[in-house]
Amino acid sequence: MRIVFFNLVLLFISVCVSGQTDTVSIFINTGQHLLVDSSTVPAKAFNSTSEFKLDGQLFRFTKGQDVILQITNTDTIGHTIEISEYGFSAFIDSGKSVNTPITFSSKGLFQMYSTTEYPNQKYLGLSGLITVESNWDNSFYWNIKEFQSSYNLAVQNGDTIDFANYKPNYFLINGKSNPDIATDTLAKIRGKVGDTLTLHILNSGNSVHSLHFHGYHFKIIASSRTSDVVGWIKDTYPVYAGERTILQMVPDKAGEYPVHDHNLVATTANNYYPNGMFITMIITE
Amino acid sequence: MRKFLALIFFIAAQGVFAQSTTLLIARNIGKKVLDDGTEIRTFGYATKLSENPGIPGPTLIYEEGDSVKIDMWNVSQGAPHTIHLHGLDVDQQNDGVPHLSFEVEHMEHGYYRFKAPHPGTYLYHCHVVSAIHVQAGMYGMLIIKPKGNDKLTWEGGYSFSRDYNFLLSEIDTNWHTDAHLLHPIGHVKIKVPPYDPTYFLVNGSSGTQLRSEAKKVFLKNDNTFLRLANIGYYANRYIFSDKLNASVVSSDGRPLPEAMVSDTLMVFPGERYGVLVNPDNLGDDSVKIEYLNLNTLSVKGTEYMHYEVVEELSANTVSPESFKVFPNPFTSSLRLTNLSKESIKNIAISTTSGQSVYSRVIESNSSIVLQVEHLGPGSYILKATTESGNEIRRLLHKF
Repeated sequence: MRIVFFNLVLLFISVCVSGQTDTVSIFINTGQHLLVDSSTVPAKAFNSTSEFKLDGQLFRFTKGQDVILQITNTDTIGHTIEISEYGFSAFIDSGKSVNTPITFSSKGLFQMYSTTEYPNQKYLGLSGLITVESNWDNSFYWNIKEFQSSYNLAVQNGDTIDFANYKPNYFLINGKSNPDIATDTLAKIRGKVGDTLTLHILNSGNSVHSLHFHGYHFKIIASSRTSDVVGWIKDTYPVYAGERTILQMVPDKAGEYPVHDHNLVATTANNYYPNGMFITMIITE
Repeated sequence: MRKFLALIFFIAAQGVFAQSTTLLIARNIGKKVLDDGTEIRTFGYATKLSENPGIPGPTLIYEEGDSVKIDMWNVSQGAPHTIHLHGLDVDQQNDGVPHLSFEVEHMEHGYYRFKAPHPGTYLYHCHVVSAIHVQAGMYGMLIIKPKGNDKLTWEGGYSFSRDYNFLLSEIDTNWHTDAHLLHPIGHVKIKVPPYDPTYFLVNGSSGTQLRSEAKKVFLKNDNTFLRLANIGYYANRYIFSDKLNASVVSSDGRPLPEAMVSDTLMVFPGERYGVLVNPDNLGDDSVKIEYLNLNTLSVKGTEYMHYEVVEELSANTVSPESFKVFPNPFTSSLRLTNLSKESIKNIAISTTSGQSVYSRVIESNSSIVLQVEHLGPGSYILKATTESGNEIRRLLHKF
């Protein structure tokens, strides 16, 4: 009941953020992102306010919804923001706002990202989730990525980075690592035996993350990478860089089970275990 | 009368609730010699105290519906260990994740129970400080076969005449130093070194080790089933010759909705695939296996799985029943009785995945005893060579 109410509130907010105009505010923010070991890295994010926060960066819409995206750029450089599947593209100069109409005509999971200095600004965090659904019950959202902290500093300083030598040392779900991710209600899968639970994943990072589910197999509902895998029943799924995928499972027993990257290096943070891309899901009777 | 009924009930119960118990001994004193002669320390699972815990651990084979009990005995004098039954979807208590179920301290036994589910390929591995313990070698393959038919992928699935298992991983020798293996115990953060493997393993072997192993044998115009699994931290890319007519039929213990014909297959950490090959050309060739860094998808290592395609096994074999092997299933020794007039010149035993585990040059016209107490539970292939050719027997070491 609480989840339904929560979703209704979010639906109301997303549709009526600015009253009759269906204007949704999105801010391009910069800041220092706090990591699990209390260190910080320069990062950027799409937020619904001017306060910087690198989290799941989820924006929900309903199918057919007409919206004006009011994008405000608080960064010191201009950004071109795209949602490729909708043909949406808008340039927002530093310190400016633009209003761009868009109709979310098809359901699914989409990526909103910065093409500026591609892929560097996207790498810093400007890669958000757009979900277009009619029902968000039992839905969970993961915006997964990784950081090589020295690369964040280099991009911030305008230095050249080379992803051919990429050696990330932080692995994040919605901006957080184990154990901090346990408190993220978007990410933490909770449900009951027999529920249909849907996990929406965007890999906004540059590495492949091979996610292994304990306790249950899931069905692959959609993948932006290939339709070959749709309908497969698996317990481990590699989410490629840039891939959007939707997984669905119906738990058959109660329990608390991990989901984690089975590249076990990604269950560390700055070479310390256990951190990284590891979370548990809780299923009750 | 009451005692008689109780006895009848007890016997019936044994039949209905038959339980297979597997002993795995967790050790941290393993040694492994790598392709270039480098010796490293390993952790692993053994079936006997006298046995070096190998990489990978023993392949566990059960039948669908079996009630399985794994007795894990930790004789490590070090960290606690567990067994995670990867992909088996067991209940939380048996899932092997320390803080969510239980961990097994030194000289303690831990018991994992499950009913063997869908036929398919699974893994088992330690989930304590898993980044280190898995790299250290605490893993193995677990296979569920259909009830009563071990030449079928699953009930209603594909039949095959031969099958091979490939469990792939990597070794970074920096992770195999005592400074990292003998990590602090308890709820503390554990430092791991950067991961930069230089040895790329197929069933624990690489390079010249792999090349010295017996070639896999595929039958022309017949299905051979390959079980592929990745327990490493890199991706594996298999490149099959188009003459093999490879098709992917299952993954992670479940059939695919439709078989997928492909000459290239990526297998990522934790994934398993079932692939049928059905070659239409005779001759020798190899499957190329590339190991890719997950951050760059660049190839960091390459190995080859060598095979030969033959018409049928009997084409180069001596007459049937030229020798007998007893007992089979066996435990620690085998008696081989020569029934033919030709002397047997060589005896070789390999695992079903082709790894050589016993070899002996002999000259025997009568019977000989093979001491094979070092072999763990599982299926093996015995090949006896005479001047006329080879003869093969399938052996079973009972749990």
